[in-house]
Amino acid sequence: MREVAIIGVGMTPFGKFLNRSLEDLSREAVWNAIEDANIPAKNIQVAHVANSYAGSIAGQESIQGQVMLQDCGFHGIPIVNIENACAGGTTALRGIWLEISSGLYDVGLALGVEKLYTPSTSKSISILAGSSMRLYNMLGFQFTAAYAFFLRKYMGKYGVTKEDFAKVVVKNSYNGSLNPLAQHRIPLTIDEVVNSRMVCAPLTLYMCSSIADGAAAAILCSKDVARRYTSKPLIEIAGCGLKSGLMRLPGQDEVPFIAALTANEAYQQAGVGPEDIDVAEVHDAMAPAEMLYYEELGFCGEGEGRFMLDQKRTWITGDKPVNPSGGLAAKGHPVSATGLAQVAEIVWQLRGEAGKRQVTNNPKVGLIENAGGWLGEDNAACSVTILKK
Amino acid sequence: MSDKPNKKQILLMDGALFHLPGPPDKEPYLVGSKCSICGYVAFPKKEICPICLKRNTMQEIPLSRVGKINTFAISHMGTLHHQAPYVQAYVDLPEGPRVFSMIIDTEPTEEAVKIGMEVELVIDKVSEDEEGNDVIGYKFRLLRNRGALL
Repeated sequence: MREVAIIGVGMTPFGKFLNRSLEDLSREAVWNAIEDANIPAKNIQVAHVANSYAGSIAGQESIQGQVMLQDCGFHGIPIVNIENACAGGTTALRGIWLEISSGLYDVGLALGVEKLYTPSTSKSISILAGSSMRLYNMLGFQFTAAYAFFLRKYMGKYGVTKEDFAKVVVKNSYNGSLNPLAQHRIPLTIDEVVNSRMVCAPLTLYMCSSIADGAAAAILCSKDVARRYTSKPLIEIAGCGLKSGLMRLPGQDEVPFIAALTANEAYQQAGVGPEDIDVAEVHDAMAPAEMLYYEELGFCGEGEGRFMLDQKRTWITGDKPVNPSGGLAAKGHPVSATGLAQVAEIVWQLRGEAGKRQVTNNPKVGLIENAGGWLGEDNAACSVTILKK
Repeated sequence: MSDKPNKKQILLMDGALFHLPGPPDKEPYLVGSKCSICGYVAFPKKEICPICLKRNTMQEIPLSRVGKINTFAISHMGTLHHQAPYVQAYVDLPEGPRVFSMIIDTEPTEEAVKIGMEVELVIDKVSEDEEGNDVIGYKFRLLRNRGALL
């Protein structure tokens, strides 16, 4: 397999943009990435485009990628449409990684785009709940509950409190306040988080990510030709694991969660371990889950997640910064765009281009955990990507 | 809740999930399937055992009507067909399956609902279809409230 580098990333701000179209958001993200890569757009040979809800929300089915990229100026190149719930963005990245590492193409584009806001928020919430088994949807399932289920057990097992959960939000809302692209940019206190409106007990409003509109893109290139285009540090894709549920069959409590299994695959591909990761973006659709991801990704032992926060190790000034972008709860969560926005953040952090939220440990290796959908007792899809400078 | 006249009752997943109260079993039960090789029990019933990955090993079995709450969440935001607040839970059945369900006949509070509480199957309206018909599915209710209801 050939080595593959990310030479350009770009995204839109995330937020509520009722007057912006899917095409408009896509064009901004794609052309930001093209300019970042300093590459002639005509040299892009293949594209994978992730989108999950344009059909249900906007009536655009089946050929979202062709429609979005036509508006960006592309026609004729092979375009693959990716639908993989909240993990769609990094599933597109993985597809382009394989297209290039196989030797078939030299340069490719991964795009994730989503519009979730409609005039009716409960309609949006109901459509999102369709990303579990449709049986669950009919029975009253909501995504907040999926996270509340395992977080309630985690609280009981290790004596973790709602105040501990709020510490994730305090950190991430602070990071989000430094990120001009984030949907929510107000730093919050423990009291504000714990006392905000109850959404799905034990989760309060500020612990939950909001729906959002947005797009994010990355340009990938075979490492041996990358220097033709960019003088910036080359960010190599060292590994990209992808797994699906049910790795953990219902009731099998001893089996690790899908995130831990996927991380192990990525660590093996990259030849690194959790101790080598300098900065990470993790999929905290409900922010307290970040604490569990510290454990599943191997950053600390079982039940020790809250100490990572108490010691501020995962703050941007710490030795193991996590979600410097603000994470999903601060940055916003436009499902299929989220994974590629996580990738963009890690690329900026590794290049030292993250501005006020730049981590201070001179990072060389970064990790992205991106998961979504709900099947049985766990995420339906999970990818873990490891990037090296 | 719609006021559509002559609305029909539609069985969730064409009734494959449960036995309705009536002969030969007066009480309702959920229908699972058990692997004749490894003993794995699935709900909803599966044709293929996910552990053995072989054909023709799964046989239909009735599941116990009483289970225990493994974990729960209390939603304070409704959906188009589910009015908040309401309790969602995983219920562990003695045969093995962990079943997603709403929990009814309880105050939707962390004081009233606890992990480990016993719950009992009920067949009830769970949603409405696009034509406004009632969709009949399953829920569980707290067992300690049973005496008060009967």
